[in-house]
Amino acid sequence: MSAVVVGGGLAGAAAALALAEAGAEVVQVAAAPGATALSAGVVDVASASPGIATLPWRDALRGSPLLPRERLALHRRGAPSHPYAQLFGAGDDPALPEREIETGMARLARWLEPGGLALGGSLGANRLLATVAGTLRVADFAVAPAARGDLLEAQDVAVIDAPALEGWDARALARTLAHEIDALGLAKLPVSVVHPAFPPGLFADPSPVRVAARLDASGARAALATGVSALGARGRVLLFPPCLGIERSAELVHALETASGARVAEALSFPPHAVAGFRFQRALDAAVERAGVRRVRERVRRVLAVDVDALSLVLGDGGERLAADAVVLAVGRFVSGGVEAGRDAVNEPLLGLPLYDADGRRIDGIPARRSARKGYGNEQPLFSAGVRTDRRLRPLASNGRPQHARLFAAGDLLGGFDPARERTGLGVALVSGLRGARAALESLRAPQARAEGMP
Amino acid sequence: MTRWLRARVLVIGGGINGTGIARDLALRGVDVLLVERRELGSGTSWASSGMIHGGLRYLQKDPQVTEHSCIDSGAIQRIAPHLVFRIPFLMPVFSDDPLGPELVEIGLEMYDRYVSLKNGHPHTRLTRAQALALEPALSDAIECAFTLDEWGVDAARLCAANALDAADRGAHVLTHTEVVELLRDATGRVTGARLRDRIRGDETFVEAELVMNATGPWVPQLAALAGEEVRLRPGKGIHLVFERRVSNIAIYARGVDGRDMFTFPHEQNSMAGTTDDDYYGDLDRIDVTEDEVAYVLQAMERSIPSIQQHRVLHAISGVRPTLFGFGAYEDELSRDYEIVDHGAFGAAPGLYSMTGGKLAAYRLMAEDAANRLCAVLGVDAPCRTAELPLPGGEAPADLLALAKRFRIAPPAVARLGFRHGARARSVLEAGEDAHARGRRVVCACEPVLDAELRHVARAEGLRKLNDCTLRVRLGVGACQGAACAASAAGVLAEELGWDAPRTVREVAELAASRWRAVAPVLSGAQVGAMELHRHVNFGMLGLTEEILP
Repeated sequence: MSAVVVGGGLAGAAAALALAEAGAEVVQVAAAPGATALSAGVVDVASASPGIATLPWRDALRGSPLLPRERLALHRRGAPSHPYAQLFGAGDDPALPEREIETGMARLARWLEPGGLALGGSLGANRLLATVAGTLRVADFAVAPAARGDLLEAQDVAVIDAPALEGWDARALARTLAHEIDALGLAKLPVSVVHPAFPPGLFADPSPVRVAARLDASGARAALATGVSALGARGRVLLFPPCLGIERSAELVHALETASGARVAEALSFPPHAVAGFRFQRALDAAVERAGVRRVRERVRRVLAVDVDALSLVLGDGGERLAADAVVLAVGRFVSGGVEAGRDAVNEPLLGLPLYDADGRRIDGIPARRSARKGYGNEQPLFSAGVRTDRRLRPLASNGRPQHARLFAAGDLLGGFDPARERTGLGVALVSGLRGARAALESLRAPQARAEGMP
Repeated sequence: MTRWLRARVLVIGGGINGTGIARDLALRGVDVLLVERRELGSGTSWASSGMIHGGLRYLQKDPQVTEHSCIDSGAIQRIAPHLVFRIPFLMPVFSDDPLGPELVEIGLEMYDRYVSLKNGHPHTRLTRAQALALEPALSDAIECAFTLDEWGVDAARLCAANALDAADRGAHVLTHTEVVELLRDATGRVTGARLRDRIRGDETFVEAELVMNATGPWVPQLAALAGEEVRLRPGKGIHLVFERRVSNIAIYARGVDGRDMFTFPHEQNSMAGTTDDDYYGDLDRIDVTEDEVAYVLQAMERSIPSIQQHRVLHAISGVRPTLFGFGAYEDELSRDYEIVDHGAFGAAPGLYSMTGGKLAAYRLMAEDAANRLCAVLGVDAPCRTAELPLPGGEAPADLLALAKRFRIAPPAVARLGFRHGARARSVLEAGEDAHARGRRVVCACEPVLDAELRHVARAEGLRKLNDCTLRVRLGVGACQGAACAASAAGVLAEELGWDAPRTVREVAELAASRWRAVAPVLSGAQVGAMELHRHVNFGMLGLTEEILP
């Protein structure tokens, strides 16, 4: 019995890893890295305030910052179209979401650990991370080294000046950061700019990802450690640009912390310098490789139902076929091609699944521009749309019934929420990827599609 | 605090007409104050095709428009060679076109008589095979094709260059400042204006001997402040902007209604347009409709069948201040211009309004307007705008040498040189600090260097991040500012002393204005780009509804 996972981001990797651990024969098909590679490596599980795209930290100004656990609980009263509504149900087990998220995070941490990438965070505490622009971002979970920069734990912040580096302006960052800290009324947290001695030639190519790769070398690591040794202080966070190594990031951070005595963290970064996302994606890929999952670097053109228990994927330009007893679709939305905006219509290209926005309206079959509303800050149906599923994450066809008994969906492809505004994209990806794998396993172990009368 | 200023002439409107007039007057030694409600060139000038073409279209009805445009196009090439680029055109002829190749060629022969005025090559006739070899994207249903030669220009930069030169000669230039009230004396004479700075909120009173209303489509609204009526036939036009090039040659296309349109290479992109429809909506929010987009693409598809596969980045829309005419189709209205003396033809002496006209003939129009004003003022200095170079047009810059010296990628220096001409060197020199921060690429789509942003903030009076879309074309490429808005805002904050909330607001404003430009044409890969745009702005930078305009 073989399961095929389509998609290479966090949802796909989680599904593939979970299936492999359960002993299934797994194939992961992905033509390119997932949108996870463009992320900041922050895995938020509960939206800022469900339905309201405002920073939870604004609540702090009113004296009540909500913890991730409390924000998660609000989801139960939130939008019925949110993937969590299907994943966690309405009320039968109030402890389920927390339990499932904590287990999921523990599994993710375990998968990432051999690659040296640590995952930090908990449902019981907010962490406050700085972005490269100096704005503050509340994070539930995050991968290191960004995760190490929790400002709630810091006594002062020293921003690393690296004037030659692209996309990094320590002075501007520090200015904005100081203001944000002040505006949130946090305890006094001084922000300064510090000037380390960089190894010569480090910025010969000033792109952060190149600098990060150069810092994987042990010579450069040692030289940078020497260069920051005088900058540390107890309780200080040394805030680095997103360039702290790619493969050997943990060793680099350890060396820098040992030399300086400060906590070493990266500012949260975004494209075109999403080094943390790139690192995260690489670590996921490595974990999938380690688990013995066969990886196929092809684009899936179509997914066909062979019969009630079997599916077939049409791959690449040659139209090669790949047979599957179960399929987990973790193909994302527009950036990763899981949803396409064609000339005349938005569509889900693999099966033509209907796409629903957060209000339950279909947006497939009409041009993208017609779903675009005026006002950047308004709710945008186009960006909350995806497939709708049953409780077992099986995408629904337009007749409201599952498209196929052994076809499952996970990650951003799930509609009903706006990952950009709620910021829960990676959290939903992890939980739904694991859940999709579980549902796929169940379907493989107890083939009862026929009995259920599914198509 | 209210301040008082005095000028001999108050010019209202920072588009090509207003900046052209301000420069002309300043060069004659007249004390000028130029006031613009938003950013220089942000209205009709920006929404134009950005061409200083002769207007083959106007040859039949308005030959003087063609002639003026051609003469003036030649002058603009002399005074601002850095801002101008050649656009070769292909005009395909289809068998079902109303005019056959012979009649088309007669028109082109007439046009050839003017093209030497603007340093253009005369037309040539190509066989079907020759045309397809030259531009394989052309429809193979063509019968034959003609070539002709036109010139493109960065219209927003041209406005800025005129305003900068005026300022260099002593003019006051106030952007983001609106006229709240026209001041009158007891006889009804317009004696100045009360201005409000739209960013700071403070007011300024300006006393002026003469007031020139050069506000384009806003001319009637402004004139109404003096109780004067000016009638326009405002014509809305849109352009679609494509990612990189559809073709390196401009290609004529025919609309379903028979109108001429074209797709043309323009700076880093291709553009397609334009439409022409009566417009009576809000001039500050000129929405692009699905009908207009479909109409343009449909026309282009006949000439370039593959056009639908090209990625549309965003749309540009604006309103022409066309002279009023009743009973004519929009396209057939005269492109000529008029200068109204509200003293001679109204009850507001001291106030003048300029309507109609073409970008290509802006300098001549400005000269005419300045002549009229100078006659009233008793100034007899001659117009010098056709001989004196605009800022940057003084001498050619050795861009490759600059690229080498500052170790910047030549394409980035080429764009800097395009916008700043001979001043590119001083822009780079001023950007040098101990860490060579000025050499950093801030916006990779265009590209825009850190040093250029600092320059426009320090030396060009730039006041808002969003204005960088016009001034240096930041944020108008594939990512629509997702990648560069925060860094650019950081640079401007340092230069202009913005505090953190202001900096974040500037980013929010840019994001929102890009969405307005993209949403009407949202399709294909651009949807993914905007998905990412939202992730960066909401998810990372933490923009919220409270901050967004």
